[in-house]
Amino acid sequence: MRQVYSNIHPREIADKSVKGNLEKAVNMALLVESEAVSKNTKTFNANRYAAKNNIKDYQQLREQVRRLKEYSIEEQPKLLKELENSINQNGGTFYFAKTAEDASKYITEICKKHNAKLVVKAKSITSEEIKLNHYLQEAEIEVAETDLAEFILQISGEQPSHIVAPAIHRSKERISALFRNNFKTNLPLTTGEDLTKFAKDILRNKFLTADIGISGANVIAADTGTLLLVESEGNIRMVTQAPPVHIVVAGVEKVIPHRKDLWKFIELLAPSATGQNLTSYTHIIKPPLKIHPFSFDGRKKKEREFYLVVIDNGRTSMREDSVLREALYCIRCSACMNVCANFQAVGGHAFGGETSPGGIGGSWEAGTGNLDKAIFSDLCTGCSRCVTECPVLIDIPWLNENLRYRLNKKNIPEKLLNIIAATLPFENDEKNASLQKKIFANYYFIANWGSKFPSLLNTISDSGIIKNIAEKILKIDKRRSLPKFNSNTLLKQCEKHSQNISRANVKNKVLLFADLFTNFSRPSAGIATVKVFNKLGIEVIISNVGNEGRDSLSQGFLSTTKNRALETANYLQKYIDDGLDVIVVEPSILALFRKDYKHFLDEKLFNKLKHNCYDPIEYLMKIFDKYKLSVKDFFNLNPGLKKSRIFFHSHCQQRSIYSEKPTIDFFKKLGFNLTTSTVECCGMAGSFGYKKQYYDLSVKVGKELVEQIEDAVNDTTDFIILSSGVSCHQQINDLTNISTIHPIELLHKCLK
Amino acid sequence: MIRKFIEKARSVETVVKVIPKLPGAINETLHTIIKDDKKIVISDFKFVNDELLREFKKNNSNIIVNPPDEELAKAKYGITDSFAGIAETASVCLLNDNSMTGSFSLFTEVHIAFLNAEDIVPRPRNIFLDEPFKSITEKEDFIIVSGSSATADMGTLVRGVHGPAKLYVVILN
Ligand code: SF4
Ligand code: SF4
Repeated sequence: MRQVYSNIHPREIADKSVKGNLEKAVNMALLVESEAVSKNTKTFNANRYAAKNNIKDYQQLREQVRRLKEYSIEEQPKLLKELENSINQNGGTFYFAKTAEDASKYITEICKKHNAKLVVKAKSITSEEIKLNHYLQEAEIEVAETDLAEFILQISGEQPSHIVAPAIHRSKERISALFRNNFKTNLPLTTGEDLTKFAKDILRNKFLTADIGISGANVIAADTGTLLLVESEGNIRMVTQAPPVHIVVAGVEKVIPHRKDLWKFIELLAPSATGQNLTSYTHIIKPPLKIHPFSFDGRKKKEREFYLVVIDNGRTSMREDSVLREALYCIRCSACMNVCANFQAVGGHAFGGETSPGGIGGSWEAGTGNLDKAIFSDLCTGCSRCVTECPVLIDIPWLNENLRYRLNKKNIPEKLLNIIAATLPFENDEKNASLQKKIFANYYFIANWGSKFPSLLNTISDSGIIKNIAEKILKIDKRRSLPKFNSNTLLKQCEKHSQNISRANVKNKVLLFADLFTNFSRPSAGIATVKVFNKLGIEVIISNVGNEGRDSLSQGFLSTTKNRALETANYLQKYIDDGLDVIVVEPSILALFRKDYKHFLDEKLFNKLKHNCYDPIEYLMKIFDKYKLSVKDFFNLNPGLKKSRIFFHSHCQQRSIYSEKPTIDFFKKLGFNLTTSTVECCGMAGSFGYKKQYYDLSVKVGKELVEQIEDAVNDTTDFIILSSGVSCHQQINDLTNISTIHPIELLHKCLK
Repeated sequence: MIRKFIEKARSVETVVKVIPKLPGAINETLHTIIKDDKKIVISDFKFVNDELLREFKKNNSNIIVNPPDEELAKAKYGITDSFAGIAETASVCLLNDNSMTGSFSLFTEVHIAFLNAEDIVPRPRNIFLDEPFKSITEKEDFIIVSGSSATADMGTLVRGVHGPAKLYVVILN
């Protein structure tokens, strides 16, 4: 099987609407491309974090650009008219192409009109989208891709796997083998320098003899017809000035009103992309350039000419679609790819379509192609790490949850399986979703039911037969241990024991939300929260609802999630209105309240939840500050515990709502020596890691976390491993047999 | 600002030389950079006084004045001026017009850019917002050059792709 997968050409599996392509692509990428993608994306990712920290007004800048993009898309028809005038005034030619075919045919006609034999092209995802090379080659016009990554892809016949570095999936060794094979050369081509020199010598000649240069544009200002182009290699400089004719092809979403605003993009783009302050070359030009035309090969000089082809190709429909409209704000920086744990593991040949890779790619494939092509958005686990990193604040997981919702509707379920699924609750518009999705969307019901017969179910769930059936019908990978059911839920334990509230200090009352995961899977963390809070004099009321909708949201069951959100929020509201703060132990649920619910609740209710729900240690921090308490009075400092060193893996969504820092600070205050994981996600992501089709990917992502734990622990036993999320706990446990505890459980142990 | 420029230039391997605005110093500096007898092209200076290059230009047979296109494609050194420098990004800002600044700094292997110390601004935004740069950037075609041409597409960072492999910025103080 390995052999079969490693022989798959990425182009064969580019179109994910073809059944089976997604799975094949994931397997191929894990075997062939993972290493290079992982190394390169992680470098970009680390550089971006550093660059972002260096920009003091980063937040303002991204908000400004976001507003600018919102305004530009809103005013698009007007801006396009203005742009057309500007281009005409500058002496260029403006063309609006309704479809991809229209654009490619028009550009081919221009090339024919100029008797072009050779076109030099700079990197342009849009030209990939409209399959321009195909049209030009049909017209017997030679196309030379001049961006070195595109040069590689032109030889290999592969589609881009990343928007900034399209050949990110190829290691030096694989590039070398490709060149040697294709050019039948015996040159060593072992170093990056060798490879670069080899390619640039070929391309230099192309630049000097080309008839036409074609490029994209990063941003276009309507008021003056100014283009912003950023690059590092210098090929765009060549493409825009060496040949006499320059054609730009760009999507309509690239147009903004004013040239004077370009600096905002300049300052935001490179740091968000590769983490550089600026790339080597930033062009601000209003072609045709006022440089005398060149002729390097003795041919007669021609006047400079410029054509701007802006394409719609589905963007108008995206603009009218309240969800996909967000994707038009994208400035194509690639931060959402570099930060994404799944993308780091497989890259854009698996997590991507024919043109657009990554978490944002699904919306583009759906918008400019069709919905079925967006099926790879299933690789988005909703971890939300990209949400804080997207410079224009696009809620990428929300887009993917919507794509999933739409795809679920189009699914044709198997009849027999649908009968089983009919026992589960779902709304009418979700009835076509697969059984696997229906089961995972209703994990609350499964867990609730399982908690009634735990010993029987736990025994049979370990048996091979059940695992085989689960794998066959539900596509739950049998290598996973199934979650254990627990009759002793948090709610039951709290019913049994009365609280021993210290009379000292804080006289306060909070509501502990018995979320699905804490209640059924990790009641010990809930109990620890009660005990620690009681010690401080805080009475804890336990909620009697817990079906909040994280499970259904992750499967794209938006109608069900809306019902669950409303029910949960209305319940919590009563307590909040009575002055109680709400404590949520499981980070994915806290993130749901603080972030995802904004899509389901009215603004007032959402804000109420957002501002009154807390992680337990975040809340403690607040209380200690407010009452000016000393940790020494309640906890043993760097206690008599044998283990005083901590490895802490905070849940991905906890980081995205910035609630991990209080935990780190609190344990530091207590004198612990704390190491944190640097992976973006553990790879489990709720149900994702259980799915047979994604098990290997999930394990690949998880292994990096395991390596970090092993490096930190480094054969000492003096370590406590903390994980804040239930999923992370399961993943670590599955891959290492190490049992982690929730940070609040450790605090409980430290109580005086 | 000069110090910041130098510090940031280091991380992108740009060599910065800070020298007085004197023909002798300029001549000497250019000779420390240009050690062979490969061809040199010099753009029309609009922001730096080109009289300052007179000593360097005198009897220098390697300089091609008004190079034909084929000669330009073969020249090794491109000397240009710049209308602004950006400290935070170690950039020089070049016109991309018939002064040939944008061309001589592209086709050559080594780009030497002159920059007046007083034209250094803190951040990219300043060339758009502050005079006298604003009147240039609101209408002219220009390029912000923040290092030599580079690629990471071949598995490692390599400098010297389709543009110069080396960038020198000579700050005239
Ligand atoms: S939410 Fe997570 S998995 Fe989804 S695209 Fe963003 S980073 Fe990737
Ligand atoms: S969605 Fe955001 S992070 Fe992703 S490429 Fe677009 S702008 Fe960058």
